[in-house]
Amino acid sequence: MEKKKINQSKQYKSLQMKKITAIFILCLLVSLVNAQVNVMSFFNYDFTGTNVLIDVSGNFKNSEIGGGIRFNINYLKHDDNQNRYYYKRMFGTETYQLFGANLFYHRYILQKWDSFKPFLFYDMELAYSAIRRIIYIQKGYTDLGDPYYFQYVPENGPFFWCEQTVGIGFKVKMFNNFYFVQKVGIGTTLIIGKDKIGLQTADPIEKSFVTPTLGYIIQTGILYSFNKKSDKK
Amino acid sequence: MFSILRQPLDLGGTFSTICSGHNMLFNVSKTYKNNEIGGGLRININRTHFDIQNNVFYHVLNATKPIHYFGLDFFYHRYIFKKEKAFRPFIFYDCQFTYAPTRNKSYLISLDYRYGGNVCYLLSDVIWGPYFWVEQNIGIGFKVKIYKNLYLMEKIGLGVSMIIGDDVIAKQDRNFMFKPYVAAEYGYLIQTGLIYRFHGKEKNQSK
Repeated sequence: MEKKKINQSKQYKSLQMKKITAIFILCLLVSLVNAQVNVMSFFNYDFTGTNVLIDVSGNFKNSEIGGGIRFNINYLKHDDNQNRYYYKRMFGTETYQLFGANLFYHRYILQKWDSFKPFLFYDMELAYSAIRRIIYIQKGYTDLGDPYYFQYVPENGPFFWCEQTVGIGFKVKMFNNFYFVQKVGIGTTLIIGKDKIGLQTADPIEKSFVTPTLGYIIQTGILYSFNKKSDKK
Repeated sequence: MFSILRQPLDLGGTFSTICSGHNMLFNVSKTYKNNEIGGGLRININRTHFDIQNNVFYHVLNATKPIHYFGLDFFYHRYIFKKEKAFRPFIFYDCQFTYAPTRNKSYLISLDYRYGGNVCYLLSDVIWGPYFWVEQNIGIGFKVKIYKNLYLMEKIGLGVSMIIGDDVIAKQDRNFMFKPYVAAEYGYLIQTGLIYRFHGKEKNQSK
Protein backbone atom coordinates (compact mmCIF):
# COMPACT_ATOMS: atom_id res chain seq x y z
CA MET A 1 0.00 0.00 0.00
CA GLU A 2 2.81 2.38 0.95
CA LYS A 3 4.69 1.45 -2.22
CA LYS A 4 1.59 2.35 -4.24
CA LYS A 5 1.41 5.74 -2.50
CA ILE A 6 5.11 6.39 -3.15
CA ASN A 7 4.63 5.47 -6.83
CA GLN A 8 1.61 7.78 -7.09
CA SER A 9 3.60 10.59 -5.49
CA LYS A 10 6.45 10.03 -7.95
CA GLN A 11 4.03 10.04 -10.89
CA TYR A 12 2.45 13.26 -9.62
CA LYS A 13 5.87 14.92 -9.27
CA SER A 14 6.87 13.75 -12.76
CA LEU A 15 3.61 15.18 -14.18
CA GLN A 16 4.23 18.49 -12.41
CA MET A 17 7.77 18.66 -13.81
CA LYS A 18 6.45 17.98 -17.32
CA LYS A 19 3.89 20.79 -16.92
CA ILE A 20 6.57 23.21 -15.71
CA THR A 21 8.86 22.25 -18.63
CA ALA A 22 6.00 22.67 -21.12
CA ILE A 23 5.13 26.12 -19.69
CA PHE A 24 8.82 27.13 -19.82
CA ILE A 25 9.13 26.03 -23.49
CA LEU A 26 5.87 27.82 -24.33
CA CYS A 27 7.12 31.03 -22.69
CA LEU A 28 10.39 30.72 -24.60
CA LEU A 29 8.55 30.24 -27.91
CA VAL A 30 6.25 33.20 -27.23
CA SER A 31 9.21 35.42 -26.37
CA LEU A 32 11.01 34.21 -29.53
CA VAL A 33 7.98 35.10 -31.65
CA ASN A 34 7.89 38.57 -30.11
CA ALA A 35 11.67 38.97 -30.27
CA GLN A 36 13.51 40.56 -33.12
CA VAL A 37 15.08 37.75 -35.14
CA ASN A 38 18.42 38.23 -36.84
CA VAL A 39 20.42 36.11 -39.27
CA MET A 40 24.14 36.67 -39.51
CA SER A 41 27.32 35.39 -41.04
CA PHE A 42 30.71 35.88 -39.40
CA PHE A 43 34.29 35.30 -40.38
CA ASN A 44 35.94 34.12 -37.20
CA TYR A 45 39.63 34.16 -36.34
CA ASP A 46 40.38 32.37 -33.08
CA PHE A 47 42.76 30.06 -31.22
CA THR A 48 41.96 26.99 -33.33
CA GLY A 49 42.36 28.73 -36.67
CA THR A 50 39.82 30.35 -38.95
CA ASN A 51 36.18 29.46 -39.46
CA VAL A 52 32.89 30.80 -40.77
CA LEU A 53 29.77 31.10 -38.59
CA ILE A 54 26.14 31.12 -39.73
CA ASP A 55 24.04 32.23 -36.75
CA VAL A 56 20.48 33.09 -35.78
CA SER A 57 19.74 35.36 -32.82
CA GLY A 58 16.90 37.03 -30.96
CA ASN A 59 16.89 40.41 -29.20
CA PHE A 60 15.25 40.84 -25.80
CA LYS A 61 15.50 44.44 -24.58
CA ASN A 62 19.25 45.02 -24.18
CA SER A 63 20.21 41.38 -24.57
CA GLU A 64 20.79 39.25 -27.64
CA ILE A 65 21.01 35.47 -27.53
CA GLY A 66 21.98 33.40 -30.51
CA GLY A 67 23.74 30.43 -31.92
CA GLY A 68 24.41 28.52 -35.07
CA ILE A 69 26.71 26.39 -37.14
CA ARG A 70 30.43 26.77 -37.46
CA PHE A 71 32.41 25.68 -40.54
CA ASN A 72 36.10 25.10 -39.89
CA ILE A 73 38.55 26.08 -42.63
CA ASN A 74 41.50 23.76 -43.12
CA TYR A 75 44.85 25.39 -43.82
CA LEU A 76 47.84 23.40 -45.06
CA LYS A 77 50.28 26.15 -44.12
CA HIS A 78 51.03 27.57 -40.68
CA ASP A 79 51.46 31.24 -39.86
CA ASP A 80 54.38 30.48 -37.54
CA ASN A 81 57.35 28.15 -37.34
CA GLN A 82 57.09 27.63 -33.59
CA ASN A 83 56.27 23.88 -33.59
CA ARG A 84 53.07 24.67 -31.68
CA TYR A 85 50.77 21.82 -30.69
CA TYR A 86 47.21 23.25 -30.76
CA TYR A 87 47.42 26.93 -31.66
CA LYS A 88 46.01 27.40 -35.21
CA ARG A 89 46.53 23.71 -35.90
CA MET A 90 42.92 22.47 -36.14
CA PHE A 91 42.54 20.35 -39.27
CA GLY A 92 39.43 18.33 -40.07
CA THR A 93 40.33 15.00 -41.62
CA GLU A 94 36.70 13.72 -41.83
CA THR A 95 33.71 15.66 -43.15
CA TYR A 96 31.99 15.90 -39.76
CA GLN A 97 35.16 17.46 -38.31
CA LEU A 98 34.63 20.52 -40.51
CA PHE A 99 31.47 21.43 -38.56
CA GLY A 100 30.88 22.82 -35.11
CA ALA A 101 28.40 24.80 -33.02
CA ASN A 102 28.40 28.36 -31.74
CA LEU A 103 26.42 30.03 -28.92
CA PHE A 104 26.65 33.64 -27.82
CA TYR A 105 25.15 36.29 -25.58
CA HIS A 106 25.43 40.04 -26.18
CA ARG A 107 24.62 42.67 -23.57
CA TYR A 108 24.20 46.09 -25.15
CA ILE A 109 25.71 48.99 -23.22
CA LEU A 110 25.82 52.79 -23.60
CA GLN A 111 22.27 53.01 -24.92
CA LYS A 112 22.45 56.77 -25.50
CA TRP A 113 24.82 56.34 -28.41
CA ASP A 114 22.94 56.68 -31.69
CA SER A 115 24.07 54.42 -34.47
CA PHE A 116 27.09 52.73 -32.93
CA LYS A 117 25.81 50.02 -30.57
CA PRO A 118 28.59 48.66 -28.35
CA PHE A 119 28.08 45.46 -26.37
CA LEU A 120 29.80 43.06 -24.00
CA PHE A 121 29.68 39.44 -25.08
CA TYR A 122 30.16 35.85 -24.05
CA ASP A 123 30.87 33.41 -26.86
CA MET A 124 31.16 29.63 -26.76
CA GLU A 125 32.27 27.51 -29.68
CA LEU A 126 32.25 23.74 -29.83
CA ALA A 127 34.00 21.53 -32.36
CA TYR A 128 35.28 17.99 -32.69
CA SER A 129 38.30 17.90 -34.91
CA ALA A 130 41.83 16.63 -35.37
CA ILE A 131 45.03 18.66 -35.58
CA ARG A 132 47.75 18.69 -38.22
CA ARG A 133 51.20 20.09 -37.53
CA ILE A 134 54.30 20.66 -39.61
CA ILE A 135 57.22 20.54 -37.23
CA TYR A 136 61.00 20.65 -37.56
CA ILE A 137 62.98 18.80 -34.92
CA GLN A 138 66.72 19.08 -34.56
CA LYS A 139 68.42 15.70 -34.90
CA GLY A 140 72.13 16.50 -34.80
CA TYR A 141 74.91 18.45 -36.42
CA THR A 142 76.44 18.30 -39.90
CA ASP A 143 80.18 17.85 -40.44
CA LEU A 144 80.47 21.64 -40.65
CA GLY A 145 78.85 22.02 -37.24
CA ASP A 146 75.46 23.33 -38.45
CA PRO A 147 72.37 21.84 -36.81
CA TYR A 148 70.18 19.77 -39.11
CA TYR A 149 66.46 19.09 -38.77
CA PHE A 150 63.92 16.45 -39.78
CA GLN A 151 60.45 17.49 -40.90
CA TYR A 152 57.42 15.70 -39.42
CA VAL A 153 53.75 16.14 -40.30
CA PRO A 154 51.83 14.35 -37.50
CA GLU A 155 48.02 14.28 -37.34
CA ASN A 156 46.66 13.80 -33.81
CA GLY A 157 43.20 13.49 -32.36
CA PRO A 158 40.34 14.09 -33.01
CA PHE A 159 39.75 16.19 -29.91
CA PHE A 160 36.71 17.94 -28.49
CA TRP A 161 37.30 21.71 -28.49
CA CYS A 162 35.38 24.06 -26.20
CA GLU A 163 36.32 27.71 -26.70
CA GLN A 164 34.89 30.30 -24.33
CA THR A 165 35.63 33.99 -24.73
CA VAL A 166 34.42 37.29 -23.32
CA GLY A 167 35.03 40.70 -24.78
CA ILE A 168 33.61 43.78 -26.44
CA GLY A 169 32.02 44.38 -29.81
CA PHE A 170 29.78 46.69 -31.74
CA LYS A 171 26.88 46.65 -34.16
CA VAL A 172 26.33 49.46 -36.63
CA LYS A 173 23.62 49.93 -39.24
CA MET A 174 24.89 49.83 -42.83
CA PHE A 175 21.70 50.26 -44.83
CA ASN A 176 18.08 49.08 -44.62
CA ASN A 177 18.11 46.08 -42.26
CA PHE A 178 21.78 45.20 -42.76
CA TYR A 179 24.23 45.69 -39.92
CA PHE A 180 27.97 45.36 -39.57
CA VAL A 181 29.11 43.49 -36.44
CA GLN A 182 32.58 43.10 -35.01
CA LYS A 183 33.82 41.49 -31.81
CA VAL A 184 37.16 41.05 -30.10
CA GLY A 185 37.76 39.09 -26.93
CA ILE A 186 39.95 36.83 -24.88
CA GLY A 187 39.24 33.54 -23.14
CA THR A 188 40.18 29.96 -22.63
CA THR A 189 40.07 26.90 -24.84
CA LEU A 190 39.56 23.44 -23.41
CA ILE A 191 40.87 20.57 -25.52
CA ILE A 192 39.45 17.27 -24.37
CA GLY A 193 40.44 13.93 -25.83
CA LYS A 194 42.60 10.89 -25.85
CA ASP A 195 46.13 10.95 -27.08
CA LYS A 196 49.08 8.62 -27.27
CA ILE A 197 51.68 9.13 -24.60
CA GLY A 198 55.08 7.52 -24.33
CA LEU A 199 55.62 7.68 -28.08
CA GLN A 200 59.30 7.07 -27.58
CA THR A 201 58.61 3.65 -26.12
CA ALA A 202 57.75 0.64 -28.25
CA ASP A 203 54.23 0.39 -26.82
CA PRO A 204 52.58 3.84 -26.55
CA ILE A 205 49.36 4.04 -24.49
CA GLU A 206 46.27 6.17 -25.03
CA LYS A 207 45.19 8.34 -22.11
CA SER A 208 42.33 10.82 -21.63
CA PHE A 209 43.28 14.41 -20.96
CA VAL A 210 41.92 17.95 -20.71
CA THR A 211 44.23 20.76 -21.77
CA PRO A 212 43.23 24.36 -20.99
CA THR A 213 44.94 27.08 -23.00
CA LEU A 214 44.48 30.81 -23.31
CA GLY A 215 42.83 32.03 -26.48
CA TYR A 216 41.26 34.95 -28.25
CA ILE A 217 38.61 35.73 -30.82
CA ILE A 218 38.27 38.27 -33.62
CA GLN A 219 34.92 38.20 -35.44
CA THR A 220 33.68 40.27 -38.34
CA GLY A 221 30.34 39.78 -39.99
CA ILE A 222 27.15 41.02 -41.56
CA LEU A 223 23.78 40.78 -39.82
CA TYR A 224 20.31 40.94 -41.35
CA SER A 225 17.48 41.90 -39.03
CA PHE A 226 13.94 40.69 -39.82
CA ASN A 227 12.37 43.42 -37.75
CA LYS A 228 10.82 46.21 -39.83
CA LYS A 229 11.48 48.80 -37.14
CA SER A 230 15.19 48.06 -37.12
CA ASP A 231 16.06 51.62 -36.21
CA LYS A 232 14.97 50.88 -32.69
CA LYS A 233 17.42 47.97 -32.66
CA MET B 1 41.85 75.94 -51.46
CA PHE B 2 40.59 78.01 -48.54
CA SER B 3 37.43 75.94 -48.38
CA ILE B 4 39.55 72.79 -47.99
CA LEU B 5 41.57 74.40 -45.18
CA ARG B 6 38.35 75.38 -43.42
CA GLN B 7 37.26 71.72 -43.23
CA PRO B 8 37.71 69.84 -39.93
CA LEU B 9 41.01 68.10 -39.36
CA ASP B 10 41.01 64.34 -38.75
CA LEU B 11 43.81 62.74 -36.73
CA GLY B 12 43.98 58.95 -36.94
CA GLY B 13 45.92 56.06 -35.46
CA THR B 14 45.50 52.77 -37.34
CA PHE B 15 46.90 49.26 -37.26
CA SER B 16 47.71 48.00 -40.72
CA THR B 17 48.50 44.56 -42.15
CA ILE B 18 50.06 44.74 -45.58
CA CYS B 19 52.25 42.67 -47.94
CA SER B 20 55.48 43.63 -46.17
CA GLY B 21 54.14 42.93 -42.65
CA HIS B 22 52.43 44.82 -39.85
CA ASN B 23 52.71 48.51 -39.11
CA MET B 24 51.12 51.41 -37.26
CA LEU B 25 50.00 54.55 -39.09
CA PHE B 26 49.54 58.03 -37.65
CA ASN B 27 47.69 60.10 -40.23
CA VAL B 28 46.24 63.55 -40.70
CA SER B 29 43.46 64.13 -43.24
CA LYS B 30 41.02 66.70 -44.57
CA THR B 31 37.58 65.99 -45.98
CA TYR B 32 36.10 68.15 -48.72
CA LYS B 33 32.61 67.22 -49.90
CA ASN B 34 32.89 63.47 -50.62
CA ASN B 35 36.66 63.37 -50.88
CA GLU B 36 39.20 62.81 -48.16
CA ILE B 37 42.92 63.25 -48.68
CA GLY B 38 45.48 62.44 -46.05
CA GLY B 39 48.86 61.11 -45.16
CA GLY B 40 51.23 60.53 -42.31
CA LEU B 41 53.87 58.50 -40.64
CA ARG B 42 54.22 54.72 -40.82
CA ILE B 43 56.02 52.75 -38.10
CA ASN B 44 57.04 49.23 -39.05
CA ILE B 45 56.64 46.39 -36.56
CA ASN B 46 59.23 43.61 -36.70
CA ARG B 47 57.92 40.06 -36.59
CA THR B 48 59.30 37.74 -33.97
CA HIS B 49 58.53 34.57 -35.89
CA PHE B 50 57.88 33.65 -39.50
CA ASP B 51 55.63 31.32 -41.43
CA ILE B 52 56.89 28.09 -42.98
CA GLN B 53 56.36 29.10 -46.61
CA ASN B 54 59.89 30.41 -47.24
CA ASN B 55 58.45 33.62 -48.70
CA VAL B 56 61.02 36.05 -50.09
CA PHE B 57 59.15 39.34 -49.50
CA TYR B 58 55.71 38.55 -48.06
CA HIS B 59 55.52 39.54 -44.36
CA VAL B 60 59.30 39.45 -43.87
CA LEU B 61 60.13 43.17 -43.59
CA ASN B 62 62.56 43.50 -40.70
CA ALA B 63 64.05 46.79 -39.58
CA THR B 64 67.66 46.59 -38.41
CA LYS B 65 68.37 50.31 -37.99
CA PRO B 66 66.14 53.05 -36.50
CA ILE B 67 65.60 54.58 -39.96
CA HIS B 68 64.15 51.30 -41.21
CA TYR B 69 61.26 51.50 -38.73
CA PHE B 70 59.75 54.55 -40.40
CA GLY B 71 57.85 55.15 -43.58
CA LEU B 72 55.19 57.31 -45.16
CA ASP B 73 51.55 56.80 -46.02
CA PHE B 74 49.24 58.69 -48.42
CA PHE B 75 45.62 57.93 -49.10
CA TYR B 76 42.54 59.14 -50.91
CA HIS B 77 38.98 58.19 -49.91
CA ARG B 78 35.93 58.73 -52.12
CA TYR B 79 32.73 58.47 -50.09
CA ILE B 80 29.84 56.61 -51.73
CA PHE B 81 26.17 55.92 -50.80
CA LYS B 82 25.67 59.39 -49.38
CA LYS B 83 22.20 58.61 -48.00
CA GLU B 84 23.66 56.63 -45.12
CA LYS B 85 24.59 59.11 -42.45
CA ALA B 86 26.08 57.04 -39.64
CA PHE B 87 27.81 54.35 -41.68
CA ARG B 88 29.87 56.03 -44.38
CA PRO B 89 31.37 53.60 -46.92
CA PHE B 90 34.14 54.67 -49.29
CA ILE B 91 36.45 53.40 -51.99
CA PHE B 92 40.11 54.18 -51.45
CA TYR B 93 43.59 54.35 -52.89
CA ASP B 94 46.45 53.89 -50.43
CA CYS B 95 50.17 54.24 -51.05
CA GLN B 96 52.85 53.44 -48.49
CA PHE B 97 56.61 53.96 -48.72
CA THR B 98 59.37 52.58 -46.56
CA TYR B 99 63.04 51.66 -46.72
CA ALA B 100 63.88 48.46 -44.86
CA PRO B 101 65.57 45.08 -45.25
CA THR B 102 63.99 41.63 -45.09
CA ARG B 103 64.72 38.82 -42.70
CA ASN B 104 64.22 35.42 -44.31
CA LYS B 105 64.11 32.63 -41.76
CA SER B 106 63.40 29.31 -43.42
CA TYR B 107 64.08 25.61 -43.29
CA LEU B 108 65.83 24.63 -46.53
CA ILE B 109 66.47 21.11 -47.78
CA SER B 110 70.16 20.27 -47.58
CA LEU B 111 71.33 19.13 -51.01
CA ASP B 112 74.54 17.51 -49.85
CA TYR B 113 73.64 16.14 -46.45
CA ARG B 114 71.37 13.20 -45.62
CA TYR B 115 70.99 11.12 -42.52
CA GLY B 116 69.95 7.49 -42.80
CA GLY B 117 68.31 8.14 -46.15
CA ASN B 118 66.13 10.92 -44.68
CA VAL B 119 65.99 14.44 -46.08
CA CYS B 120 67.69 16.89 -43.77
CA TYR B 121 66.74 20.55 -43.39
CA LEU B 122 69.09 23.40 -42.49
CA LEU B 123 67.83 26.54 -40.80
CA SER B 124 68.66 29.61 -42.85
CA ASP B 125 68.34 32.99 -41.15
CA VAL B 126 69.53 35.76 -43.48
CA ILE B 127 68.97 39.51 -43.67
CA TRP B 128 68.77 40.93 -47.22
CA GLY B 129 68.54 44.48 -48.39
CA PRO B 130 67.62 47.18 -47.44
CA TYR B 131 65.04 47.75 -50.16
CA PHE B 132 62.75 50.59 -51.08
CA TRP B 133 59.13 49.42 -50.76
CA VAL B 134 56.22 51.06 -52.60
CA GLU B 135 52.95 49.43 -51.62
CA GLN B 136 49.83 50.54 -53.48
CA ASN B 137 46.35 49.23 -52.73
CA ILE B 138 42.77 49.97 -53.70
CA GLY B 139 39.65 48.72 -51.98
CA ILE B 140 36.65 49.53 -49.86
CA GLY B 141 36.24 50.78 -46.32
CA PHE B 142 33.94 52.58 -43.97
CA LYS B 143 33.99 55.23 -41.31
CA VAL B 144 31.48 55.18 -38.48
CA LYS B 145 30.88 57.62 -35.67
CA ILE B 146 31.47 56.06 -32.25
CA TYR B 147 30.90 58.96 -29.89
CA LYS B 148 31.07 62.72 -30.33
CA ASN B 149 34.21 63.40 -32.42
CA LEU B 150 35.56 59.88 -32.27
CA TYR B 151 35.23 57.61 -35.34
CA LEU B 152 36.09 54.04 -36.24
CA MET B 153 37.61 53.44 -39.66
CA GLU B 154 38.27 50.12 -41.40
CA LYS B 155 39.63 49.35 -44.85
CA ILE B 156 40.28 46.23 -46.87
CA GLY B 157 41.90 46.14 -50.30
CA LEU B 158 44.14 44.50 -52.85
CA GLY B 159 47.20 45.80 -54.65
CA VAL B 160 50.77 45.50 -55.73
CA SER B 161 53.97 46.03 -53.80
CA MET B 162 57.09 47.14 -55.67
CA ILE B 163 60.37 46.20 -53.99
CA ILE B 164 63.27 48.17 -55.43
CA GLY B 165 66.91 47.58 -54.52
CA ASP B 166 70.31 46.07 -55.14
CA ASP B 167 70.87 42.44 -54.38
CA VAL B 168 73.60 39.83 -54.68
CA ILE B 169 73.27 37.59 -57.73
CA ALA B 170 75.38 34.75 -59.15
CA LYS B 171 76.24 33.60 -55.68
CA GLN B 172 76.89 30.02 -56.78
CA ASP B 173 80.07 30.81 -58.75
CA ARG B 174 81.56 32.87 -55.89
CA ASN B 175 81.64 35.88 -58.18
CA PHE B 176 79.28 38.15 -56.25
CA MET B 177 77.67 40.94 -58.18
CA PHE B 178 75.23 43.59 -56.98
CA LYS B 179 72.53 44.39 -59.50
CA PRO B 180 69.56 46.76 -59.21
CA TYR B 181 66.15 45.20 -59.69
CA VAL B 182 62.45 45.81 -59.17
CA ALA B 183 60.35 42.94 -57.84
CA ALA B 184 56.57 43.13 -57.88
CA GLU B 185 54.42 41.19 -55.44
CA TYR B 186 50.66 40.97 -55.15
CA GLY B 187 49.50 42.15 -51.80
CA TYR B 188 46.57 43.16 -49.68
CA LEU B 189 45.75 45.70 -47.02
CA ILE B 190 43.68 45.41 -43.85
CA GLN B 191 43.46 48.53 -41.68
CA THR B 192 41.59 49.23 -38.46
CA GLY B 193 41.86 52.43 -36.51
CA LEU B 194 40.39 55.28 -34.55
CA ILE B 195 40.02 58.82 -35.83
CA TYR B 196 39.53 61.97 -33.81
CA ARG B 197 37.94 64.94 -35.56
CA PHE B 198 39.27 68.33 -34.44
CA HIS B 199 37.05 71.41 -34.38
CA GLY B 200 33.95 71.23 -36.49
CA LYS B 201 30.86 69.13 -36.93
CA GLU B 202 30.36 67.57 -40.30
CA LYS B 203 27.00 68.64 -41.68
CA ASN B 204 26.32 65.28 -43.32
CA GLN B 205 26.80 63.32 -40.15
CA SER B 206 23.93 62.41 -37.89
CA LYS B 207 24.31 63.85 -34.49
